Amino acid sequence: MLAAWREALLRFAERRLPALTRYRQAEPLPIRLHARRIYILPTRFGLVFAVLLMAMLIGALNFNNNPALLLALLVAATTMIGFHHNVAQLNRVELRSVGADPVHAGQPIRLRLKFHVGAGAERPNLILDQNECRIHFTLLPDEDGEACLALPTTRRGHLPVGRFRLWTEFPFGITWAWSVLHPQVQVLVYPAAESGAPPLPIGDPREQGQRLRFPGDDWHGLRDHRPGDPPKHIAWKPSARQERLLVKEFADPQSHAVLLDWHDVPLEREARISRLTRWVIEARDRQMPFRLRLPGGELGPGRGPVFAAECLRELALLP
Amino acid sequence: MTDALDRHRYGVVIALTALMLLGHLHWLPPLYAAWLFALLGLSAWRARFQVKLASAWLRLPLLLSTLGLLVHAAGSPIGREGGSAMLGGLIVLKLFESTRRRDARVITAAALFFCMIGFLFGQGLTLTLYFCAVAIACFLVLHVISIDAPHGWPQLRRDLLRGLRVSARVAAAAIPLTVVAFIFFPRLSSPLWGAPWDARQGKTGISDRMRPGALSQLWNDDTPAFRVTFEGEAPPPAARYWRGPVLWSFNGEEWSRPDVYGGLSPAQIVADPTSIIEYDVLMEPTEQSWWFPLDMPLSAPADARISGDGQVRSRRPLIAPRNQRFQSAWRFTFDPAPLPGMRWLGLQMPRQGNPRARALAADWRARHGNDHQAVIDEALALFNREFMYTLEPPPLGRDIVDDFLFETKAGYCEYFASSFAFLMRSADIPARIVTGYQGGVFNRMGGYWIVRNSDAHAWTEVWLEGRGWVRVDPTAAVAPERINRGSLAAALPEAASWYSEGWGADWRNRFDLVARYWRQAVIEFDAARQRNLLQQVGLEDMSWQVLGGGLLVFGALGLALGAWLSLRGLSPRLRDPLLVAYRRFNDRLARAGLTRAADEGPIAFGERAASRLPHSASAILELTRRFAEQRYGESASDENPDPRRRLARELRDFRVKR
Repeated sequence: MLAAWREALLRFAERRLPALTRYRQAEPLPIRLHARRIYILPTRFGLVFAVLLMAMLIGALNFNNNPALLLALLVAATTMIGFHHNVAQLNRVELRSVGADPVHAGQPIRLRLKFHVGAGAERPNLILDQNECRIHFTLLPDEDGEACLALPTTRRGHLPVGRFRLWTEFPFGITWAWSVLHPQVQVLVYPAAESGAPPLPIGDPREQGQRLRFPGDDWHGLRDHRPGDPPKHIAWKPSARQERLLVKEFADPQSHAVLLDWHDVPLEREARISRLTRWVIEARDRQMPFRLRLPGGELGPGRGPVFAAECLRELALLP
Repeated sequence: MTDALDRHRYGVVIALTALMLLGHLHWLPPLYAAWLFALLGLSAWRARFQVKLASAWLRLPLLLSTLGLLVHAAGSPIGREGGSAMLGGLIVLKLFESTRRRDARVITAAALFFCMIGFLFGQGLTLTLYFCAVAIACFLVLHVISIDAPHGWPQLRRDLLRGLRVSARVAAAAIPLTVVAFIFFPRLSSPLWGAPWDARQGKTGISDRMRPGALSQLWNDDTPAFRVTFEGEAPPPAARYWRGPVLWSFNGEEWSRPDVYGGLSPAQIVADPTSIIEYDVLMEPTEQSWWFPLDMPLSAPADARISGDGQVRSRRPLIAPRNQRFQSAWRFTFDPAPLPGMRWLGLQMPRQGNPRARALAADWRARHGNDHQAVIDEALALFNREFMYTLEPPPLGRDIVDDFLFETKAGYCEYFASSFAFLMRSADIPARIVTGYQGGVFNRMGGYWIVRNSDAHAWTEVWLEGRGWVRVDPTAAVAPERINRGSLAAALPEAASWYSEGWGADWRNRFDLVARYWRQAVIEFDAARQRNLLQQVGLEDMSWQVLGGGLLVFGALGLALGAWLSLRGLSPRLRDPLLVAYRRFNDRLARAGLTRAADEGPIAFGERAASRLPHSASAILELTRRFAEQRYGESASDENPDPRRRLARELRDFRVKR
């Protein structure tokens, strides 16, 4: 109930009072924190501490006990100077980049946020959080510090990284200073892969007049050596006979690459994407050449992680 | 954030609690203090070996035994002493159920509060410095427990070191603000609620009862009772009697003040005008109401009364150090006209007891008749002839006067005064006992006199027809040095300590000087002193608004100064004025919507900016080119600062044209 009200109030504030929440709009990197966008409030302990300080002050004044008053004032003044140190912890901290290795929807994505702070003292115990995810880290001066935050993912496509809160209770845990970081960064989330999918649609090689070949299995003929050909492809024996360098020429991969066709999967849309994703992963893991035919066009043939990543990206970004 | 408290940090909290308790050892009942330290040891042992002992079946007995011990040692768990001791005990017991960071914070906050409680029991400079150090330690602990870090000693050591650095730095930076707030904070002219002294009598100094032997704990108490600054010459040593409670009633064991004797009109004094002297007394808190002015005071402070027998009593107990101006005459006579009832009071005796002393007095009376002076001389001669002055007299039996006069014949001022007064009353001469101090040591550096608790003294006054009350100090008949040299150490070799003379005395004087400054500048600073201080800088009107305004203005300055001082090292500024100016230039462009990317060089950025801001394009390009030249080019050197300076100025003056 309370949380819902709070949420509604925040939404209202963002809509109606953009000046207050100005820094919550997405903004391009790098984001450099400065005093005007760092906010500070007492912690719960800070409130208790304030009550205690009031009691100390009133007691000391009542009994006209000057050493006690001096102590209470020293504690109060130390606390107040502590506010400045609290804010100074975040001041001039810079968020330089946000990156992540793509994951499949449903898996947590590990965001890498690179922070930097110029010369000066270290910034210990900074806390970065988004919703329930939280990470502590220490920034050393003049060094890039990396904070990794694992966020849950639910759907494929571009995922805006959203708002982070960078905060700290340094030095005394009496106040907390925070600033909201909303970098204009999206990370890619691949579609979830279907579990228990049928095997790759390789088909019967004899029926199709083709044989599934693995790279290096077979070669079609010979051709002249061109600079840049790998030495292990040189056919030494024929070369010796011909007295010039001949290179083995391999079969055209297109002819026997597996076709992963969107139109051959009789499922509804997301399930189809999910199955194709599974097949792409499988083909990648088996180093198998394949082609991916999607409604918008055809990818490949190709093989290996780079091509697979391209295919997964296309799948992720399907409308 | 993990909320659990690992054992290393728990250990730090235990250490803090121990530090806090150390500052209270001087007033906590010893047994109770020992018990609290034992509890600390138990909790430390529990943490060290990770013994699970925190269940309720342990905590309840611990609480009950602590409470029981408190009642046994301090009398009750309420009142100033009992309540404070109870709070200390609860803090220690809280350790037994502290498993989380929140608990540790509560303990730390309570420890801060308990440090302040300590000032109800003493306000000395050393104690204040100690408690301020403990307060800094509290902040250190708050820092350490607010850090989320892997457990273990190496990490904790790093946290502790950083915490020490940070807390000391922040606390040092807080000093200007503290001083300003201390001066300007509005003081209450009257307390909101009563002062926290206990109903029972205070511990230190002289009380309004006297029994031979009771003062003995004062001999070893070298703390100052009060300090005196004379206007002009100090009176001669033999006249340095500091008059305290006057005791009239004797019940055979103990002298006390009669309850009926409160309303006598002020003493009628005939003072020798050449001996009238003015002086300031800086009184240590005694928790009693007596002042100890020089015998004989001529007037009383505003909140005190002077009674017919020359006692100055404050209306409220002296719980805080007070400075007070007095006027006394050290050569004086009482008005010889007897006041009604005075003679009866001065002759009051128990019906029985001490028969030999009564017989002796009756014998003198029979021999000398109405010549009271002769009886007095007889008694003094007896003391001088046969008695010995010692601080460790043999114990007395039931008839204390008889025992002293005829058996032990050794004692100190209380014994002599008590026996002498008894003899006089037996001889039908009104007599009374005056307690107070005698002597004092001059502090050359500070130009004032210190009277210590060890200078406590008791003497007598007898009523002589036609002369009024006359001071007779029987101790002077036995040990005249005690009176003339003005200090106990002079009278007794055994009482002399190493620091009474030589270099030790020198250092002691120095320390006492500092302590006195502390008293005057800090402890005694009240609404009146505040007014005086602020009037000196021209603030005549001492309203709440003026004080609040001063507190705000100067407090803000102090806060800014402290924050600046302590943050200076944290983010060092750019030293090169050219870079500073270029950053300013970038800020202006940023306000126009152009932010320089981290990987963008000045020239590329300048070109981009120029294309976006055509009105200022030429200026941007020109400034950027010159900046690059000065910063990176061939001429980039400090040899010719003029173009750099000019460029810096132009960069600062740059405005985006719309």
